[in-house]
Amino acid sequence: MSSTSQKHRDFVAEPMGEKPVGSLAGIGDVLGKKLADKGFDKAYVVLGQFLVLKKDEELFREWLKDTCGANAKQSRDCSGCLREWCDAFL
Amino acid sequence: MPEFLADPSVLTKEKLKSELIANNVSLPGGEQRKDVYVQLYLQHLTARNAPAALAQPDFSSDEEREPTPLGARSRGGAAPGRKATKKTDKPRLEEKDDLDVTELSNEDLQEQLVKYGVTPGPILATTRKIYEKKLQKMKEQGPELGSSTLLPTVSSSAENTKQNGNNDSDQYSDNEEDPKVEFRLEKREPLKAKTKTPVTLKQRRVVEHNQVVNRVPGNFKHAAPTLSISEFSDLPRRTPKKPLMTAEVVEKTLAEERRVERDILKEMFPYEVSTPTGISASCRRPIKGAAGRPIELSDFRMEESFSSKYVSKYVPLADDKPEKPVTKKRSIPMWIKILLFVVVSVFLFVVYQSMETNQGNPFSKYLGVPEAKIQAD
Repeated sequence: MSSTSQKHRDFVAEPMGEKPVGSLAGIGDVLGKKLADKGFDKAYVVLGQFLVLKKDEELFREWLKDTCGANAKQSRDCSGCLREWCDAFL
Repeated sequence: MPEFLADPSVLTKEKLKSELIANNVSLPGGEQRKDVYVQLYLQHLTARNAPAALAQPDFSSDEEREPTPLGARSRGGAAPGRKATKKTDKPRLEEKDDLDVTELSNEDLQEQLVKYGVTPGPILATTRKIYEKKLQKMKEQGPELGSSTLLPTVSSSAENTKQNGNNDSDQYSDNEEDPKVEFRLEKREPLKAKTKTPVTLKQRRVVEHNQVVNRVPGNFKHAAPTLSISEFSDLPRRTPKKPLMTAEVVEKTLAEERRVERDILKEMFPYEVSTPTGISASCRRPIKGAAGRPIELSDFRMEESFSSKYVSKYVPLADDKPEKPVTKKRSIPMWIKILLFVVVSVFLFVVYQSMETNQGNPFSKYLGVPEAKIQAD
């Protein structure tokens, strides 16, 4: 069994559409609210930020840490989730 | 330095004479009274003071006239020095800009990042901070690599100051050597970085080649240490500094080899026990028919269950039920036997039923004449 969570698998299974930012792996209620306050209310907006950083996971993790205070695990989960989604659908 | 005093009488006669001579004022022959010299002083030298003061109205007249000639001379003296220092100032100014990463414009930030080999995405409001951080990281990591372009300008400026007739050339000769030495060191280090990748590639190819040639698992462990020895012997020929970093590279390739080793081993011997030493001992099967041991059919079945039980202990990924392989290897599955038994029993019951043709109650004679039967007995 791989080390991905159920949330990760659910997100990567289908196009994100209008899913809220809290549906991203690693982003719970607290972080989701912080991101939404900064304008990242939908998952696709965060995806946009990931793409603008040229899909560089390290830079994205830095950005996430600075923007909403995500810790190492949360940012790793989120960047991994987005990367896999991009590999599957982009 | 001539002092153009307003009241030259404070000076001694000798001093007045010397001042006058210094300023090319013709003295009257023989020893004169002090007044004569004072007058001459006043006439010529103080008169000179006036036009000088007029020419530089910036300087306040209240001040002594000392600063003006000093200022004029200092200007002239400093100019060649300033020209010499301008070239050294420029790279310093550039470095100062780099230090204030936040002061850079978006384009400059992008240029700086490209210098360090990073291809940044668009620098927008959201991404700017991240790229600033990245630039600072790159600067901390590679000030040696990045500044190789700046050093040549510094060394050339040092040479220029020499050519301008600097009297302290002996003192600066040491400094001139140092930037040159640093430059050489920096040249070697980028070489190091560049040659790291080709070395690792070569090692990987060698490793792959060895793997293809030596498929026997036993030889693998021998091949790996011999590889490392050969690598260490080859490298000193090229450069003396390489063995330091190749130790790390060798370790990495060794780790890779081991991983590949395990994969190939698993392919070749899927049923083998995976122990740390690679050695597994299985219970020796007693040879049937030898040393007077009786041969039984059940013994052949037990063999399989033995080995399967052993494997299941060490290999956690194997089936949880050891009975499964045992049941699979039986010629007739259990459920078929049960089914046959049920079918046979049903058949017998049907046969029994068909044999009983009497419609009447079979227990009627017992019910009707129970006493008769007892009497008969």
